[in-house]
Amino acid sequence: LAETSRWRALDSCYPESAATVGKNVPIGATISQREPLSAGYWARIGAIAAAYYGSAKLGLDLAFATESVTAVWPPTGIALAALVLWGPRMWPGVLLGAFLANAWTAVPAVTVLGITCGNTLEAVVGAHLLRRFAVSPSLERVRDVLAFVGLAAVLSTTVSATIGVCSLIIGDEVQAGSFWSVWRVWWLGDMGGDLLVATAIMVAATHWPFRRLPGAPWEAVVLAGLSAGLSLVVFQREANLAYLLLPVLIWAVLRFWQPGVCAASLIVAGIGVAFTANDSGPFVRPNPDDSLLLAQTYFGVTGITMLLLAAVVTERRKAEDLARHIAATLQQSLVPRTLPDIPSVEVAARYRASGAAHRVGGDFYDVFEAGDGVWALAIGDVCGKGAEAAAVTALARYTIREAAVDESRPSAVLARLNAAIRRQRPANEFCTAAFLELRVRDGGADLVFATGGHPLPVLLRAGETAETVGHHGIALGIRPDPELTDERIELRPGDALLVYTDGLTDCFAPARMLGPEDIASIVSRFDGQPAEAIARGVEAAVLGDERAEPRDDIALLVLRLRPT
Amino acid sequence: MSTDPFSISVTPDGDQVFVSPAGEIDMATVGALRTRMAELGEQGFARVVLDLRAVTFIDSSGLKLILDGISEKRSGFGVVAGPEPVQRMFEILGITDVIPFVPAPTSD
Repeated sequence: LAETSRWRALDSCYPESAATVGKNVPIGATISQREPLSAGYWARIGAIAAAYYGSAKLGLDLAFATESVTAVWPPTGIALAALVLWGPRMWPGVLLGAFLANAWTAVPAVTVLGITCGNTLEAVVGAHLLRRFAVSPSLERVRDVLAFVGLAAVLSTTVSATIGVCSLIIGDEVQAGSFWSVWRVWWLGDMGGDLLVATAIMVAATHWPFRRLPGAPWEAVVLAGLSAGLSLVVFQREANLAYLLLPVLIWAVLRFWQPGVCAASLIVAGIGVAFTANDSGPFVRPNPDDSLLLAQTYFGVTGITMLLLAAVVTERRKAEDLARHIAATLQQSLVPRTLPDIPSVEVAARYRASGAAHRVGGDFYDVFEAGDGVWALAIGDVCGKGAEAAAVTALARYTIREAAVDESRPSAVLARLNAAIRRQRPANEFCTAAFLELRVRDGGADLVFATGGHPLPVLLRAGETAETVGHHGIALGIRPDPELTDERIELRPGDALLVYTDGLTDCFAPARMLGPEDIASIVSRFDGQPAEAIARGVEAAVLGDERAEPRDDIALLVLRLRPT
Repeated sequence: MSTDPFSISVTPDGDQVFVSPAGEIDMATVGALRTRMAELGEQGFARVVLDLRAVTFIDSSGLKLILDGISEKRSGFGVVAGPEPVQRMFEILGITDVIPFVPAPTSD
């Protein structure tokens, strides 16, 4: 379910229908006027152009090599994120922003045009590749991070670097001989923009409003302060202390997932690049290009590592959520949603699965009408826990439902279950169960029941003390011909009966083990009370104020004839 | 969950061997016990006897171990009766006469 909604969310990130994905439509063709372009479209184009232009101005201030080649080029990230989130039709915004940003630099017109085209094409190619390979902008899976790094950060950025540097050479701004050194700086700058800025925007847009993150708001403030403070210390010193930032980044990953990584990386890289550009910190070398390369390598490698770690964390979380959801759904299918209304009879039930939320319990109960005026009550406990146990539980519950209609005696119903387990399950899997049939008549009810390896029912006659009734039969699934006997008792108004699984007696074993006589004496305290009060009272008395988790599942059913 | 540490001691006695777990037999400990008993079975003892005298609690996974022992080893398997809570569990399950109980080892 979570996966489906994630994919729906992803689909909505791509305005064009998923059907066009994978058809390899030429990029120019996808931008044809399929629908009228609204005012909203032009507003977004304007926003992209403005953001691109503003961030380009900021980036140019950090320029290292020449005016047009910078350390980290945030506009690349903004352009890619915009086209990923709002669709490839937004390309004119990038074109406009890139043109305005470069028009003000002192390079020839041909160079400006070349750079502008390169920047735009880079974003279009990057967004197209991400879409083609169904990369989710939330970066919540390891494959999303790997594909983003490979396709967008590494591959698509070569487009802009190559076209841009060629344009500089054509415009005589750069010597042909220094092609590779300028190309490398350009490429790494764009890569930095994708890794730092595009990820931050995509993650912010897809994770907003950050409700699922385990970290508290105050913790985010502390973390941001620590990232900034530690960065200031690290990047003002010549000694290489950059590794000191790793624990802080890992803290950000574990508590704030992708948003934490992006925010912390932006803070650390922002401070780091600014200091390195001003010849301060551990990455400074005589040649500014080398300083830049060292700094970019550090931010790139730590950023990718932390995004991968965050993806591992979110993937694991998703798997846990799914397991919990499956367990809860399965568990709900093993007990009736509501108890039926039986004339003149009160019924109450309790179910408590022990252990972690993703474990399915091995106990079950059921209450249903087996025939005209015949009400069936079943309770049982299968050996083991988890999915294996759930398979036996389902088998038991539905075998009993079917047999209860066909068979006239409870012992025959349990014999059918015995045969079903032996036939359908591996050797020596077994189950204990009690099956009861209730026929209400004027002034009372007849109860016939059988037990197979199960704790005996506890009968509380109105005004008397409770006692166990019946004889132990053998657990079901062990013997081909189980010894099972039917017991018959007559219930009078005000009489109550409890059936339970051994989790009730063994929940704190071996420190505290209860016997059937203990359960009977607990039940005796609730003489004259309705079924619901008995169920609640027994559960409370057994669990007490014990804080430990019960070691076994607990199921119990109480029925009581309404007093006249 | 276990408060007492779980341990297994092994006492060969002629052509049979006693496997004596101490503590609780449940899903957490039954695997080690099952492995130990399988190893001893492969070492050629005519009979592997599960000695329950020091067992404080046994759950359905321990019971399955006993049932598997009965159906796989037949006469090559025996059980020394445990304390009252363990025996009561066998009784509730109605399998007291299914389990091949044998006397405790004479050496102690």
